[in-house]
Amino acid sequence: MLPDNATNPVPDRPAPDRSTPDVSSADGEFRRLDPRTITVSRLGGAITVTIIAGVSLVGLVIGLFASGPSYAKVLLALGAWLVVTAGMVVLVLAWPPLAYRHASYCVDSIGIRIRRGVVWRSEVAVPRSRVQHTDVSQGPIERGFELATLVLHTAGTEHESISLGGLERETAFSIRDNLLRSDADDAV
Amino acid sequence: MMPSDGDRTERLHPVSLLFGVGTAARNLLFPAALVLVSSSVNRYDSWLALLFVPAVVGYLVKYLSYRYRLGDEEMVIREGLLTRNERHIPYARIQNIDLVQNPLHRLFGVAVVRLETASGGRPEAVIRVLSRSQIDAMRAKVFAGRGAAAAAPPGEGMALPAAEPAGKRLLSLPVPELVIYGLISNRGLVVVAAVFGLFFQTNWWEGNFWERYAPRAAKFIWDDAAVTRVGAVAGHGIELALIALSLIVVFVLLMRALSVAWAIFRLYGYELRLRGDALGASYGLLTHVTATVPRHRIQLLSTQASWLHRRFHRVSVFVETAGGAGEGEGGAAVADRQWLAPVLPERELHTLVREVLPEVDLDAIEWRPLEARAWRRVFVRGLVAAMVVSAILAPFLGPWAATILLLGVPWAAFHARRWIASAGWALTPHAVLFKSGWWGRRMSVVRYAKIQAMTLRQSPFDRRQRMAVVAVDTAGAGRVGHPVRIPFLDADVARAAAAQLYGEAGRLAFRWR
Repeated sequence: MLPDNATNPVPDRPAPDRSTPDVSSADGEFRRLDPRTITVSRLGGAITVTIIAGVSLVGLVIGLFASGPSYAKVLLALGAWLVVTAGMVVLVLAWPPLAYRHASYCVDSIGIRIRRGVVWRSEVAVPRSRVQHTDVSQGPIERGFELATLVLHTAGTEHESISLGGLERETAFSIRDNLLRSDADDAV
Repeated sequence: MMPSDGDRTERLHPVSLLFGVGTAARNLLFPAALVLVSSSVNRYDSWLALLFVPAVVGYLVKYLSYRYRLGDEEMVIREGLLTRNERHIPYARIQNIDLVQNPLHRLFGVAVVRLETASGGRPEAVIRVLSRSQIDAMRAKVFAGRGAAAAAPPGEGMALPAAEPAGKRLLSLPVPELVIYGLISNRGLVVVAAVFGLFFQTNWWEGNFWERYAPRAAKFIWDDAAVTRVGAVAGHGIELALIALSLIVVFVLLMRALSVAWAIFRLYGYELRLRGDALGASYGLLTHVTATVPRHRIQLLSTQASWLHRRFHRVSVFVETAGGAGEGEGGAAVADRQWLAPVLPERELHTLVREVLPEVDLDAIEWRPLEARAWRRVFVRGLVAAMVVSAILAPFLGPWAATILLLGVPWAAFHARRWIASAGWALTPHAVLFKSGWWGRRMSVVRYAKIQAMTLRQSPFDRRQRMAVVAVDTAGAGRVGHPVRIPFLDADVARAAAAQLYGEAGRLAFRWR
C-alpha cells in the first residue's frame, strides 16, 4: 500500500499547478501542500521573532540601565542579542521550505495519509471510517493567502485530532467532503 | 420521543439525602472537631460548623431537583434549581454501567451508579444513590435490544451481592490467590499513602500538632541514650549495616503484609463473568464494586508479568475501554475497572483471552522478532544513562563513580541483548500484538477494528540504521501503559506492516458497540 519512499520526501517532480487538484477521486497520489504555505509560515515566524526580540531588547535595556551600564556590558549584551535574533531569523527563513519539502498527503480508497517531519519523520494514516468529524479553519494570515487548515478528529488518544495546514481553501473542502463521504456501515 | 408505558420520571432514592449530609459532615465536621480537640480552642474555629449549612442545602437542592427518565431510546437527566441542566444520554452510547456499594450503601440496599460513554475522561453521569429496583429497571432499558445481554431477565442482570449472578464464570479469585496477588503487587505503599492522606486531610498539621507533638516524639525516639547507643554502634560498620539491613527487611515485609491486606479488602470475592456479550466483574469486601464492560468495547487488552509474577507463575490482565481514561468523581473504582484478572495462573491466560477476544488465539501466534542489530541502540541508551548517573554522582562518590560506569557497561549490554531477544510482534488475521520486556514482561493486543490511526515514524537514528517505528492509536489508550508501539523494525518491514494495518483497519468499520 505504501510506496518505497514512505517516509522520505516526495520525489522531485513538478510542483502541482495552482488549479485545484482533483482529490475527490482519491487516486492514492502523494501531493504537496500549497507552496504559499512557505510564505505563511515565514510571516507567522516573523511575527513571533519580532515579539520575542522586541521584548527581550526592552528587557535588556532596562536591565542595563538598572545595573549601571559600562561599554563592555552593553557590547556583550547587544552582541548576544544580535546573535540570538540573527539565529532566529535564519531559522524562520530556512525552516519553512524544508518543512514544505517533507510534508505531503495522500487521499486513497481507504482514507488519508499525512507525511511530515524534517528531522523526526512520521506518516500518520487514518482510515475514512475512523474520522469522527472534521474542521476547516483559517487563521488571519492564512485567510490573506486563501489557505486553510484541515483538522481531522478521531476517537483515538494520541491522534485525537490531526491537522493538515497549508492547503488551498478549495482543496481543504474537497478533501473534507471526500473523507466524510461514508457508507452506512461506519456509523459509530 | 413518544412516551411509553415505562416512560416515567424517577427520583433519587431518599437515602441519597442522608449520604449527602454524611459526606458534608465528613468533609467539614471531622476536621473541625479535630481542630477543636487538638489545639487551643479558638472561637473562630467553632464557626467552621456554619460551613456545613450551605453544603447540606446544596445536597437538599440536588436531591429535590434531580429527576431522570428512562425513555425508549435514551435516558434524560434533569437537575438544578437556578441553573437547570438537562442531559440526554442515548442508551446506545452507554459503554458501562458500574455500581459501587460501600457497607452503608449495602445496609440500605442502594448503590452509586456510574454511566460511562465514550466521551473519554469523566463518566457521563454519576447517580448517587439509586435503589436496586431502579437500577434493575435502568439496566433492563439500557441493555434491551443488545442481543444476548438482554437475554438475562431484569433482576439477574445486576450482580449486586444479593442478586443471583448469571452467565459463565470466567474467573474467581479465592483468598489464597488474593494473598499471592498482594505479595506480587506492591500495594503496601497505597495503604501508607492513604493513611498519610487521611492524616493530612484532617488538618492536624494546621492545628499546632507538629509543633506540640513532634519535638516530644522525636525526643522520645531519639533520646540521649539512643544517641549514645547508635554512636557506640557506629564504630562497628558491619553492625550498623546489619541494623540498616534488618530495618529494610522489616520494612519490606511490612509493606508486603499491608499489600496482602489491601488485596483481600479490595478484591475479596473477585469474580469475572460473561453474560452474553457483557463481561462483569464484581469484587470488594467493604466497598462492593460491580463493573460491566461489553466485550465489543474492549479497545486494548494488555498482560503484565513482573519478575515476581513469574516466580508464582502468574500474570495480570487489563483491558482498556473507551470510557474512563480520566479521574471519576466516584473514586478509585475508575482505575480498577480495567482489571480483567488482577492475577491469573499463566496456563489459564490463553483460555481467558479466547473468551474475552474470541478472534484472538494466543496459541496460534507466530511472534516475529525485532531487528537483532537494534540491540546496539538499546545498549547505547544504557551506556548514556550510566555515564550520566556516574557523572552526577562523581562529586559525591569520587573515584567510586567510575565503578558505576564499569558495572553499567556490561549491564547495559546484557539488558540490550535480553530486551531485543524477548520483544516481539505479530499480525494475526484480526489483531496486532506487541510484547516487550524481559525482567517485567508485557504484551498488548489490539484488534484491527479498534485501531483509530497508525503511524510510521523515523528518528534520525532510525534513518541512519534503516529502521522505523510502527505505532497504533486506539480510543482510551494510556492507562494500561503498554501501547502497541513497535520499535526497531527494519524500514521495509515496518512499511509493509503499516500498510497492512491501514488496509485491515480501513476494511473494518469501527463500532463502539
